[in-house]
Amino acid sequence: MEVNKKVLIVEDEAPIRRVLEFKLKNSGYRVLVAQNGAQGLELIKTQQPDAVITDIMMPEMDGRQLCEQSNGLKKKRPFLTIVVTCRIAQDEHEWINRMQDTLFMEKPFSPARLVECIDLYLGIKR
Amino acid sequence: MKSIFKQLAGKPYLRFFVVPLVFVVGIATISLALVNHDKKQTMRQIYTRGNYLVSLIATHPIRSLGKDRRDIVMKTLARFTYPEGVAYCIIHDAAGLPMIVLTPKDIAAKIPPAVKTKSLFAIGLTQQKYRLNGSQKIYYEFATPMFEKGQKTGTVRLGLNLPEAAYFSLERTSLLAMICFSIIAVATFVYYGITQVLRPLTRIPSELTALDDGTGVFSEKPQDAYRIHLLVQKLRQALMLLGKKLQETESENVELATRLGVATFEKKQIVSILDAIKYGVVITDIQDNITHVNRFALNLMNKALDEVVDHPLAQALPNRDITQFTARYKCTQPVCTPNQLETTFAELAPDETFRVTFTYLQDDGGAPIGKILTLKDITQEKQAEKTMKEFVTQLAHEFRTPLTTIAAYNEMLMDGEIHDPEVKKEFYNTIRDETGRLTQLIYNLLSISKIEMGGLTFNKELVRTDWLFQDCANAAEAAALKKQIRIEKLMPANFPTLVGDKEQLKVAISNVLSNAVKYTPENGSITFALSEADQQVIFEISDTGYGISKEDRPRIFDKTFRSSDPRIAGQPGSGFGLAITEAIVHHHGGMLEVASEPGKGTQVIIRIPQEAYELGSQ
Repeated sequence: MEVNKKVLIVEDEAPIRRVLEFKLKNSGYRVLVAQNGAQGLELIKTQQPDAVITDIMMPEMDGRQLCEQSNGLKKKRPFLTIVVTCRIAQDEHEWINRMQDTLFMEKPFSPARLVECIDLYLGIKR
Repeated sequence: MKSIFKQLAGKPYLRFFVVPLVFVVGIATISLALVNHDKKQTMRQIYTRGNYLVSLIATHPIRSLGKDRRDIVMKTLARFTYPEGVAYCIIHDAAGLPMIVLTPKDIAAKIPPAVKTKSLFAIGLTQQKYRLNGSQKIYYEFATPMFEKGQKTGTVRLGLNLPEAAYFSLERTSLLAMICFSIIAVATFVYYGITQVLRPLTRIPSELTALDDGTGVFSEKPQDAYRIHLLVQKLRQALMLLGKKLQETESENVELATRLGVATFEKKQIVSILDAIKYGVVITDIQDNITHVNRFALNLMNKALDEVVDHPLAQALPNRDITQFTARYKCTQPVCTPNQLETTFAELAPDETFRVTFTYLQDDGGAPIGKILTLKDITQEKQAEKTMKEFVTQLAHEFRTPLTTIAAYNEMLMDGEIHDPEVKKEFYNTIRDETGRLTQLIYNLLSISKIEMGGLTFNKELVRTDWLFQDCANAAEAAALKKQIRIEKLMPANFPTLVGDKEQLKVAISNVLSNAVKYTPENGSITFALSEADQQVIFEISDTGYGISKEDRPRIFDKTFRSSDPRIAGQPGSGFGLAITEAIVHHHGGMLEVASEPGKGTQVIIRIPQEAYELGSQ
């Protein structure tokens, strides 16, 4: 089933990037890939994805900076951000709660569950 | 003076002349003083009344009254104010001509002209004392100008005379008599009293033994002798008691001095102990004024003891947290268990964190009489805590990342989403690689744990360095290929051998090579060289990677350290690698040298002695 929606994956770990890309493409999404926060932000601005999946611990620009800098863009054009990380500190929850349309998913996560979340937000029924 | 009294005592008849003479002179002096006092009193009255009367006349519109009425008013006024003393009253007009003249006797003509002139031309109240022409009587003239609507309309002059002072009036004589009687009565009474009290003492014998003889003047009066005997006995007892008391006081003084010495010594000891401890101690009274500060706290305050004692705590140790805390725990709070807070002193030591503990000082009854503040420098603790937190976070990340990959890939395979056999193979390979990564991580964790606990064991064997070199290079090349990093291998024609643990050495060298691959950007190069010199085998690994910053350089062998450089932090790794390598190299008696230039690359040299090293457990 082809879905005319773009999902951006921002992840420095190649295997995780690969499996997410595979799963999302299998689910019919158009997938954009970035290896760090800086590349991800650039793609958010230029490609205007409908959902962003990002890690936190990354080189160049980390996931938190990416979320904070892209949060302003959501006023004009809202999109879903899913933060996947293993850091479960209290302060992580706090800043994620301040962001608009942002979810938190702890590692290890299920790719199927991730796609369900994106489907739900984007209103896609299978 | 004493000699005069002695002479008088020796010649009793002189008393009859001297005593009455002194008495008469005294009476005369008192009489004169009384007269003088009366005179002054009268003069004061004259001045008061004269001023009052002349002002009264000047302020009343007497000029507008008819002549008869004026006389009546004037007379009445004069009589009312000073019936006997008014000698004359003359009111002049603005030109100085007499308008109204009231003189009980015809004395106006006898007033000296100078007095009149002065009164007429005065601009305010004047007082003059003079004698009438041809008379010895003293008069006082009071004059004041009269004004109406700011214009001078005339002058009032009023003459008063001083009444004759009678030296021996009835009143004064009676007063004198009363004083004389009182003096005589008091003197007699005092004299009699003293004589009665002192009589026994005047008869005390010069030597007390005279009493025992039963002879002398006292034998005539046995009652007196008995009284004196009692008196002397009481005096003796009093003296003995006094002596005893003195001795007790002296011994008490000695005891107090000893106690003071002991207390001073103990205080010095306590101060020395306080100064020796590695905590800051500040003692205050209940009003938060400092009573003592130990050396550690003085160093923090950067002041001498004299500069802070008796000063408020907030002044010597400015800190909002402490001020708020002490305010909250004022003495209304019951004596409580120690309380503490963590704070920094921005003005004194901004980079250090202190744990401040509060305790109340109590008296014997348990009431708070002061406070003790202890300050412990916990900067290192906080740093270690922070480092450990970062380490745990990093470790969690390192574990969860391969776990995530394995779980996700496994789920995809299990769900049957992958149909392409090539992709399936790729996924299985990834699961295998990530499992290997997890295994390596656990191995490293166990190794570092063993190193720390002292349980790492080494096998002593002959190691062929060509095999060791090749094994390490092969492991690195697989990872380098993915990043298109070229590994240049430099090796000698004849490989040396060494005595050591091959597996451990492989771990040590592989860790360095693995780091070189991880921290060299794509398309970089790594040189892996083996050489032999001074009976040492030298492994040299150089890369064209990110290098190590100056800040990170001292901590690269710390097991919990990972660089904050995002290019390095972004790479998977536990941070244990170099710590393990260092431990293995040291146990082989070797050396590890690291040279690096940020942005250009890093060079690591491992030197392992070929022989003569006894390996074994740590």
